[in-house]
Amino acid sequence: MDDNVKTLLDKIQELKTPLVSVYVNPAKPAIDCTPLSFKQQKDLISTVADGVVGSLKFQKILNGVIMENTALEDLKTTDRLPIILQLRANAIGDQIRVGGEKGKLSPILKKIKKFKVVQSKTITGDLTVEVEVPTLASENRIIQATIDLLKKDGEAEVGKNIGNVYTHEIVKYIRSIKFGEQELVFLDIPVSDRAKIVDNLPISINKQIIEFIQDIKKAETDLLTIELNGETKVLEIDVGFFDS
Amino acid sequence: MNTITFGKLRELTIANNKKQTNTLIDYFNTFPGDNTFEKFKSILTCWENDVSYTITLNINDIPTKISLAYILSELPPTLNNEIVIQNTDMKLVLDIPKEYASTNDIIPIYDIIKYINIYGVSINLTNLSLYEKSTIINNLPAYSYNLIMNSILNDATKVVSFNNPILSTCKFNFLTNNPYLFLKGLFSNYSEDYFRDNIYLLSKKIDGQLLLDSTIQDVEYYINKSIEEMNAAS
Repeated sequence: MDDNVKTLLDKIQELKTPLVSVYVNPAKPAIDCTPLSFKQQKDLISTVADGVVGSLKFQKILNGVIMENTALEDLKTTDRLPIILQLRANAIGDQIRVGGEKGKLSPILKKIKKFKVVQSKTITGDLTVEVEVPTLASENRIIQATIDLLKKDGEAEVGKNIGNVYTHEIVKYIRSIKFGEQELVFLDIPVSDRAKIVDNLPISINKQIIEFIQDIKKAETDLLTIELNGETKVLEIDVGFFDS
Repeated sequence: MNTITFGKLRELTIANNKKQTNTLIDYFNTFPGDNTFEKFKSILTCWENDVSYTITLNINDIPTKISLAYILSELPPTLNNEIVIQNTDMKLVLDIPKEYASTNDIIPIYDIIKYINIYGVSINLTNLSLYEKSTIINNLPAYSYNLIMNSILNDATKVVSFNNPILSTCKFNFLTNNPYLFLKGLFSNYSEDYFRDNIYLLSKKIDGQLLLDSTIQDVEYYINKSIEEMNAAS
């Protein structure tokens, strides 16, 4: 590589410092994180052209960005929102657009330290199901399996696609299933087999897993809710969040 | 000056059907011009000379024949003014790519950034390899991506539009892949059967190599002559 290129890359690194200190867990110290790069921003925004698969790719890229920039592999999906909100504020600034209106990110950032989510739960019934918030890495494996499935089925199969996305959303949160003396640890089996098991779980069990997931989504929605011009609005974390 | 021959168009049609995108891109880059805008004009000029005086555009879902002479008359001589983006940390200069390149991106970002200056260190990216360019650009801070995109979307100096109201929706932004996609569409107009039929019909009368070296305009003339002869004989 040319010396001039190397010198310029060094200067670019200067622009990337200091590292961004991001709060994830109120009980733990802040994490050092490298700022969002041009390529990460480009990759996130490029997903807009990919339809249904695009929103899954967006989520996968977002998880990848967090793992890359924090150099931590064990972060949970509930850590995503606090980190990405702070990274975005650092990279692009405080101004956001919510439902076409201009707003500020800072009121949401102030709520991060109070953001708490139950991390695991045991569901009992005919089976005992251990559910927990997945890591970003394990969620990415499931997202990739979902993308592969959607591509195989084609985007025209809307009903089937929604079913697949729904099933795989449940798959993400199951740690293990106990039946009698046997225990099936989900991380040990292929994603396709996990999906088949979820599709055959009793409705009462599925309902409780969904309640666990909904509690997490509610906490996230609460975090993203702001008052804007006298109205309550929810900030969407999508391509537009990085584009505005 | 390049000539778009019957044989060349046949070769490109076959390559296009086999999704060999680089064949078409390499061919476009053989046309004269210092950038993709000038090459675009050269290609359309050749198309007018060698293939057809008109092109058919889908305007409001209606196929509409447009004279290439008109389109060429509306293209400015150059689109040479660079776009300069500057803030306290950095200066970027954008311009039309020198050559057409294979990319799935709507905006060929690595080809349009010509110059970067960060904290007083500057580099001209024009003659760097794609690897070097992408290494530098990918590591720029995220906000520079939004700055560049906003400049491209808001800058009208690299956009060619037409005065004729029929073509009010027809615009070519030379900082995007849109002109390349237009040319690709133009070169995809002929089916392999068109070439098969004409080779079958004309090779009985014309030497094969002469036929391949002829322009489409020539071939259309031979076909009309041939049909006239057949009609006279029947």
